[in-house]
Amino acid sequence: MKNRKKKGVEAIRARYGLLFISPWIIGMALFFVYPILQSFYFSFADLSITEEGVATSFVGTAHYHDILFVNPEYTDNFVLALKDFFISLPFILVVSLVVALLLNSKFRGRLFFRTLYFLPVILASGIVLELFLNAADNNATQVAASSEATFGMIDFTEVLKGMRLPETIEKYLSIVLSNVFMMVWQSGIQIVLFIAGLQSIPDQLYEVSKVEGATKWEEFWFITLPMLLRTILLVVIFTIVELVTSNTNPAVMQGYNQFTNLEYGAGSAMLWFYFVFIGLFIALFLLVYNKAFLKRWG
Amino acid sequence: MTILRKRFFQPRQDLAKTQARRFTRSRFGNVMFFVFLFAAGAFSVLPLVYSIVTSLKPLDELLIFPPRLFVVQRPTLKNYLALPDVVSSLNVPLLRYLFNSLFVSVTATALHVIVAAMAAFVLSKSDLKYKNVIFILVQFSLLFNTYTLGVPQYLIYTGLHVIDTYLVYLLPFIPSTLGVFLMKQYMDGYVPGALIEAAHIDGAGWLTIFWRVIFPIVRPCVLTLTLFSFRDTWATIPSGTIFSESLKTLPTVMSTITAGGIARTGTAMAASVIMMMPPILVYLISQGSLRETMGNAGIKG
Repeated sequence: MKNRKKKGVEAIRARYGLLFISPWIIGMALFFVYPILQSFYFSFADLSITEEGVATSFVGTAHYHDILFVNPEYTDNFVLALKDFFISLPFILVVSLVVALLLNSKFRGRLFFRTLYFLPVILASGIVLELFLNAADNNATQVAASSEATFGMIDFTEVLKGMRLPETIEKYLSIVLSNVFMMVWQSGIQIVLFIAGLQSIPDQLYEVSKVEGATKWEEFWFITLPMLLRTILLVVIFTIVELVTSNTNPAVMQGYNQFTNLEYGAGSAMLWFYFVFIGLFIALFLLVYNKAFLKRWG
Repeated sequence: MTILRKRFFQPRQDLAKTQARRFTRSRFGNVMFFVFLFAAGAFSVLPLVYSIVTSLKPLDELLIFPPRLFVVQRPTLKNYLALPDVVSSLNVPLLRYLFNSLFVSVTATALHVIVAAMAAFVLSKSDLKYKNVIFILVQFSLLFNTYTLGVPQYLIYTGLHVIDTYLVYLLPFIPSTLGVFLMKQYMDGYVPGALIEAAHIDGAGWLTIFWRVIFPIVRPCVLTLTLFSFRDTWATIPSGTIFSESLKTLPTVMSTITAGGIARTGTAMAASVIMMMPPILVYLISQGSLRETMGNAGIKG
C-alpha cells in the first residue's frame, strides 16, 4: 500500500493500463494463448473424435521421434522451407525498401503506382486468390499457357551463366530471379509498411540536412535508414510471419495435410517443431538487432 | 521539404558541381525511374488485367485455342449481368450476403483497430508489470494462424455457444495479435513519452490522452492496420462454424459460383473481380488521406 501511495501518478497509470489492455488480454487468452497451449499438448498426444468432442491420449514424444527420425519426408520439407526462408527474407526486404523509397518521392501519379504495387496484397489474400485460381482452373490450358507466355520468356539461368559470376552468387541469383514473380507478389504489405515509416520521418530533418548541404546518398544513410530502424524490424518480423504461414511453405503445408487426414497430433508436432525453430531465430534476431542498432541509434 | 522533393527530379545547380553530379537525376534518370516502376509493377498487375479481360469475354472467345490472354475482341457485360441469375437459385437474396460481408468486415476491423491500439498504448507507454513478457508472447503467437489453431479454437467456440452466430466471425478476430504488434512498434518509435507526460500534467484524463494525443499521431499506422484487417475479414470463409445460409458472407457464395465448371469461367472471373474491388477501394481511401505532415505531430525542437 505504502508503495502505491508513493508512486502516485505511476500507480494510476498502471491501474488505467490494466483497464485499457483488458479487452485484448481476455480475447487473446481465450482465442490464442489457450489454443496455442492446447495445440502444444496435442503434439504429444493422439486425438480421436468422439460424441462428446475430442478425446486425447498422451503418447509422449512419439510424434516428434516419428517426424525427425523415422519418416524422412518431414526433414526434407523442413530443410527446403528453411532454404526458401533465408533466400526470400533479404530479397523481399531490399525490394520493398527500394520500391517504397521510389513510391514515397513526389511525382505525378504516385497513387496509381502505389495501388499497382499493392494489388498483389489484395489479390493474394485468401478467398480472392482462391476464386482466381478456381476460375483459372476451369480453363487449365489457358493458365498453363499464361504462365509460360508471360513469365517463361526469358531463361534467367542462361543469362547468368554468361556473366561468369562465382558459383554461389550465380545460384542465389538464379533462384531469386526465377522466384521474382512470387517475391514481388509477397512484397506488397512490406511496401505499405515502409511507406508508412517513411512518412513518419519528420520533414525538419531533411530540411536541416539540405541546409547543411548533404547529398541524397548521405541523406539516405544518415537520416532515412536510422529513422527507419524500427520499421525495418517490423517488416522483418512481418515478412517472417508471412513466409512461415504462407501456404507455399512445404513444412507448414505438410502439417496442414496431416490435419486434413485427421492426424492432429502429428500435424501439431510438425508445426510446433518448425515454429519453435523460427521463434528462436526471431529471438536471436531481435537480440542482435537491439544490441547492434537500436541501442546505438534508436 | 516540398522544395526538396520538387528538386528531386531536377539537377541542383546551386550546389557544388561534384555534389550535384553525385546524386541527382537527369532526364534519362527520370525515364529509367518510370521504366523500372512499370516493369516491376507489371508483375503485379498482369493477373488483374487477365481476370478483368476474361470477365469481359463472351463464351465463344473464352474457348478459343490457343487462348488470347490479354485481348478481348467483343467485350460484353453478360458475365456480370448473369451473376444475379446464378445466385437466384439460393434461398437468401444476394443483398443479404453483401450485408453480412460488409457488417462483419467493418465491425471486426473497427473493433480490432481500437482494441489493438488500446493494448499497444499500454504495452508501449505504461509501466505495467510483465508487459515485455506479454509482448514476446505476441510475437510468438503471430506464427499461429487459424489453420494451426483450428481444432482448439473450435472447442472454445462450442464451449461459448457462439457457433453459427455473427460472434464467431468477430470474436477471434478482434484480439488478433497482428494489430497489437504493429501498433506497439509504431508507438515505441513515434510517440514521445514526454508528450503524454505533458498532457497528463495539463489535466487530461487517460481517455482524452488516448483519443486526442495518441490516436492522431498513430494515424498512418491506424490506416495501414485498417487496410490489412479489412482485407483479411473481407476474404474470410468460416470453416465449419457457420451453418445458416442467412449468416454466410459474399465470398462463400462467390466460391460456389466459381466451382461451376468451364462454362462459367467468365462469370467466375466476374465474381472474383467484384470481390477484389472493396479492398482496393479501402486502400485508395486510406492512402489518399495520408498526409505528409503526420511526422510533424508531437514535440518540436
